[in-house]
Amino acid sequence: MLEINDLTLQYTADFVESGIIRVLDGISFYLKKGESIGIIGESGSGKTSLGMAVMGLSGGEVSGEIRFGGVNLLDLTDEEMRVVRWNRISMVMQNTGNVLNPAYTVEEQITEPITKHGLDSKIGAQERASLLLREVGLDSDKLNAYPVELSGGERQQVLIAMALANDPELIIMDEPTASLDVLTRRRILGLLDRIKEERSLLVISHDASTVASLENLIVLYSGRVMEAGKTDLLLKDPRHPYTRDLLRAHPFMDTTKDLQGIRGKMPTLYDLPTGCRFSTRCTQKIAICEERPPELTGCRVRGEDGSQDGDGGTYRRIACHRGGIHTLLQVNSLNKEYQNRSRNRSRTVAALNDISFELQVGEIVALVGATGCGKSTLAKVVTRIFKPDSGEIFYDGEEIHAIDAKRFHKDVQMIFQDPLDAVNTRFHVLKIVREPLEIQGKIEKQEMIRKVKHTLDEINLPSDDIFLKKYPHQLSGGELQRVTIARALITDPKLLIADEPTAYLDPSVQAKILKLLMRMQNTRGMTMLFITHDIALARKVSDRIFVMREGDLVEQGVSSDVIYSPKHVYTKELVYGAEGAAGYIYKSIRS
Amino acid sequence: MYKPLILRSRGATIGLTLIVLIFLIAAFAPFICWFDPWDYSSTPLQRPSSVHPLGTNAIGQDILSELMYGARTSLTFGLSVSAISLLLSVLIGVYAGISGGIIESILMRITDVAIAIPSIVVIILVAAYLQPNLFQLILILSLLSWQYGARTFYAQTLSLKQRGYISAARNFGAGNGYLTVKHLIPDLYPIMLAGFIIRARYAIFMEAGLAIIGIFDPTTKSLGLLMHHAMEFAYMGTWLWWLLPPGILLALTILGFSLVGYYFEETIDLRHRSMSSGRF
Repeated sequence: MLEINDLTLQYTADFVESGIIRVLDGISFYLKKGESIGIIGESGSGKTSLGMAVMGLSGGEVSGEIRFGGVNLLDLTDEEMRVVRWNRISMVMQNTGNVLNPAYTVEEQITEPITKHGLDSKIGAQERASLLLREVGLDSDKLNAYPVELSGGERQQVLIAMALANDPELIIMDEPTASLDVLTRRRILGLLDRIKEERSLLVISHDASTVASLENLIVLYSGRVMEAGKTDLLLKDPRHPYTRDLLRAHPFMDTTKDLQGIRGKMPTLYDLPTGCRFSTRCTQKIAICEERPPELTGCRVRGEDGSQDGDGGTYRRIACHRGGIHTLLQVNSLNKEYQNRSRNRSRTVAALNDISFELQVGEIVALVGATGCGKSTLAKVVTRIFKPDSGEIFYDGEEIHAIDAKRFHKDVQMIFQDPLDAVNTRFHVLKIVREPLEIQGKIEKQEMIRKVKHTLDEINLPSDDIFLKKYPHQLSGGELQRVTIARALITDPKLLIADEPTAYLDPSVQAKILKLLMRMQNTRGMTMLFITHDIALARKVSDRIFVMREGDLVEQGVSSDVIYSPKHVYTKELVYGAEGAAGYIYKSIRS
Repeated sequence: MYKPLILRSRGATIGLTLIVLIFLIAAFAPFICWFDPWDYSSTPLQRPSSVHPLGTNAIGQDILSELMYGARTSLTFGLSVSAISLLLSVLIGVYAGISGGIIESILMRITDVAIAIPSIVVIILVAAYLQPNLFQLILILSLLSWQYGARTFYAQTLSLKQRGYISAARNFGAGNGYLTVKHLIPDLYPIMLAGFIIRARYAIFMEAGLAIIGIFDPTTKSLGLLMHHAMEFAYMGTWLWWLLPPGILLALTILGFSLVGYYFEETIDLRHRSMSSGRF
């Protein structure tokens, strides 16, 4: 019914070199009769412009096709467009408080489009207005109210009633739930559900939960479509880094991890990157990403049962040169045994038993398990300190033992449990932090010192000469752990493995170190494997949680799933155990 | 006033003073002595006099000059043996410890064999048959005394290898060479220093022992040789000025090295170090 092909919207502007500002760039999608579609994206991504363009209200230079019922709306004259607008396509403008004319009553505002398009008599229009008001869930006594007398939610309902006035086939809604409280929002969402039963619906929102019940979803960024597909699949398993980061920033009710924004800023429209629009903030960018923008193509999606699905049945497309979120580390059936010799008997202990998992670019995964379950062994195998007995580990698609040592160790860094053990006590801060650079070589002394200072600044440590000459025993545990973090970050690693980095620290210092690690992970776009025995801690920092028990990886899943619906018995034990301990503390505080 | 740590221990102060004094005597022997110890023009077997404070020996050489030059040889011998055997121990122990695998097995089995060999017997036999000169004797004794040190350095390397900063450095891409030069060897300095002093003491003692039983380069002057010759004429009552002085000087030298050695063993032990470095 609505088919948009290669829609481009640009404005002329004399303050930029090229003379034009492109707000929408090559947007294509279709919406079948009776279907609904959501468009999400950050503020300034072009969502509202898209709605306005469909309505023919955008001004500017529109090219491409907007086919509605077989007719290209862009070919219509203003007069013809005016007939389509409100009668066949209507729009609920963003409820900013000034969309309703404060001088007219609700009734007058609802009847206006009806009488204006000459569809009904005045009496008929008034009847219809009170009917519509009831349909959107308002009492008909609100008919005579002025907009100032209405609450935000009620104003939103009136706006929807206005959009429904001429019984259009397609309704475009711009931020229908923005700035509404939870209960009002639920009422509006219920209304949306009823409306979409009879009409086609296009909902624009920055809020993923508003569009969650719609059939299809489009993710817009800086005027281009990043990802498109069935809403449930897309929300559950986002494949584009931007979609994932956007969802990660959203406070869903069961989110356990501390919220973090997407790193960096959206590029301004008059200074767009030549390549992929998201490349300036993307954590997995490669050379081609900065050269040319990616096409929106079908992507492979992993089904519930593990099957791979192409573009075929599912409507799922993605614009990414790397084919969506990239797998940084892939571990296939890893085994490692220790010989445990006691007296004359020799017993083999499986430290790692058929471990398989994947780490994706830009995520934090917590590896949880009791002491001695093989967590640290896994870390050491992954960082090539130990050799596995069998199994494969691929870093960025390459078997790790085939990668040049220096290159591998530049990319994969580790933070240790005991900071005092992890530094040579004969070294001062400068020597400690610059050691990786010295080993990596090919760097001048001045440049090295500059880098050390820069990294120390970045993690809020002093970088003056007095601090640089301090020895480990002159620093506190927290400071020393920060120094080791600086040392790990100085080579700009892609994968950071943190082995119980806060185990020796008190809760306050621990919290600061964790915040620091998460901030560095976010700004640098690293992938992080966070090893801990504390599941309560794991849920605050991780996107996913792996649970390990005596060499087995018993459960892996999204943090909220693992915490709120643990599947394996051992995970349940861990979660309830942690809850029990917390309950005990609360009780003793209260009594 | 600032006082170096070593001078706060009375034993170590005494030991250090002794070593320094004997060193000065040895180093400046040619300037102090007014007789060439090899010059046999004086009357033999003189009693002590103002010209010859400790008399002369059986072939007319000045005993005091012999004593000073003897201290020279003894110290040179002791320190050289100590340095060479220490070098061997460190090389073998650290290399075995850091390499692991087959190299570790081979080197440590060789060490075990060396420990099983009774070195005194071997050195007596070798010396008796080969009649080695000073330099060769230094080499032989070094080759027969590295094994105990090798064990120590091997064990220390194994324990240091477990430290986090070694794993960390490996994680930055460091190889065994880097780890040895930048971390292990400097970390072992204290043990090396203590080991060096203990070993020097042992070598000086060995020199005296070998010389007394006549297995030492007879063309040199050493404390042991001096005592060896003095004993031949002990029946003539010359022991007081001929045998006793080298004995006392030897005892003082060994005492000095022992006192300083004990001090280092106690204070620069790695465990003491990590405890005093302010663990939180």
